[in-house]
Amino acid sequence: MRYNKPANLLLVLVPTEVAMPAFVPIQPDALAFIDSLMNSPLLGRDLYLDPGSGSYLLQLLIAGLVGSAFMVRTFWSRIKAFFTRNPDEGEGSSQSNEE
Amino acid sequence: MKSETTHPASFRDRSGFLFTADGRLHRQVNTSYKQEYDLLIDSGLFQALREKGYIIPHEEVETEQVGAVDAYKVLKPEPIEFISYPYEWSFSQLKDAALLTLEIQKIALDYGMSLKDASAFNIQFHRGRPILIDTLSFETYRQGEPWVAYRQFCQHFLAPLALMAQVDVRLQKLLTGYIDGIPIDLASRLLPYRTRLNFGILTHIHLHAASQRRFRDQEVKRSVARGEMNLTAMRGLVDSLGRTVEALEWKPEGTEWADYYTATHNYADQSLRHKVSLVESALDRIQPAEVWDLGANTGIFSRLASDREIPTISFDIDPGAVELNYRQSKETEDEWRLPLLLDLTNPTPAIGWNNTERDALLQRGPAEFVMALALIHHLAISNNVPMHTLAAFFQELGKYLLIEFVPKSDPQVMRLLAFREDIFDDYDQLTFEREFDLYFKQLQKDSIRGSDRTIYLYERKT
Repeated sequence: MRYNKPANLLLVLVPTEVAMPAFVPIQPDALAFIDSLMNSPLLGRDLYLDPGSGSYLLQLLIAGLVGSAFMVRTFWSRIKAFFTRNPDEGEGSSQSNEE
Repeated sequence: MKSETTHPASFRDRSGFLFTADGRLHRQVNTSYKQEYDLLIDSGLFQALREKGYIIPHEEVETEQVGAVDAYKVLKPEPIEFISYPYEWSFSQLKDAALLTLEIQKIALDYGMSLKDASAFNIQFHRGRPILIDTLSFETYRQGEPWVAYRQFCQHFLAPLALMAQVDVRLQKLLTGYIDGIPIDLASRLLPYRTRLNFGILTHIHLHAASQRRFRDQEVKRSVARGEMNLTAMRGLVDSLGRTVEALEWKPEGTEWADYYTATHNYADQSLRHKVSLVESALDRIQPAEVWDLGANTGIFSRLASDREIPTISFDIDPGAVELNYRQSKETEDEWRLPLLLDLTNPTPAIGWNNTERDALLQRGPAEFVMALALIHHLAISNNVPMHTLAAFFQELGKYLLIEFVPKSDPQVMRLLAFREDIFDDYDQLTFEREFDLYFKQLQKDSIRGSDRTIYLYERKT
């Protein structure tokens, strides 16, 4: 948290579009507003946290979606391949979708 | 073995490291990586990638141990002519490197392995094509585990490509500031709202950023996460990334660069033909082992060198020119030309830990033969560099210099001076010769027919 910082420093730290309210004489609630911005994920970075967990969990969240889309696509390309000349030239990996 | 030095960028990975011995780059495989390395070789994955030209070939060599860590093997990879970095590549070069990374991951999964790194720095351009140079990037694939390199792939490839294609191609410059790729939340903020309608960018950038935000201060137990992403989902993820990257396009046409290339060149055909013949005779006279063409535009003169099978780096400041140059070189399967983005007035700096991980441009020189055609007026007039500073700079760059002097009477220089005060008293041919003669020995001097321009062939004074 960045308490007790001079207001002009806040102006530097806050992006222009949100810094505009700070040009008017600063009211206590305006300071609280700015403070809440400082604690927003975009600004108040905690250096001990690794964004890795979010990347890891996103993959688990979308696994079902991308997995089934991939299965449908592979299946469909095999049907297409069946009706065209070269049945082996199906799209996607052919080796281990049966696993 | 004498004079071994470990490479300063080779410290992150505990699987092994790079070192130079007898003037050649070697890669040590540490004993801790034995199992994975054996799987890479025994499973046939290395062979499969090698046959496709996707991974740098190497030979295993007998050597004494280097450093304190136990060596399992020492590899001697095929040397790369010139190390380049993602912030020097054109859009299509970065895209091709991204697609290669995904293709390698696809193949690796077929052999029961997975990439543990998806760093753009692991890809180099070798003989005209992208190639994986980090042989130790693989690990055993464990059923159920997500892709450990997913975030790195998004930061190193997807985020910059999306920004270049959807916002502005110049945002690539962010890669010089962020050595581990563009942070996902930053990319998400910069991308226009409409990119949320693109499923791939929505998922891999915007939702990815939201997920990082959501879980940033929560402890995640590994056991909770394990066993939920099966192989099909993993393949689906790689496939989805591939489709997203594939759909990103950037074309120099239809942008501010466009008319620059369609506009007729500044030479009468006769002058151009004469200039070509002068460049050719200089190349044939020196027969250099490598050429740096500075201000190469779309690579017209670089081609004279690469056609002679001389490894040629074709630098230009304009992303559109570099893009067209790369596309042309790819189309003609030119193995000898590497187009790269470079602002000579602010050349690529050294970055990374201790400023030694990625080399500055000048650290990758000097080149044997430097071409600076139709360039000097941009440096001297647009960038106000005094003539004596220019001469000293070029002396550092290479042994031989083929340079074109463009006088103030030239239409292109008149254009540069049209809207600015002419403060360039030292910009004339006499001063040019006097200053360059301090650093170089003149081997040849020719006026280009049908123009006021002159081409000089110089050899550096030692």
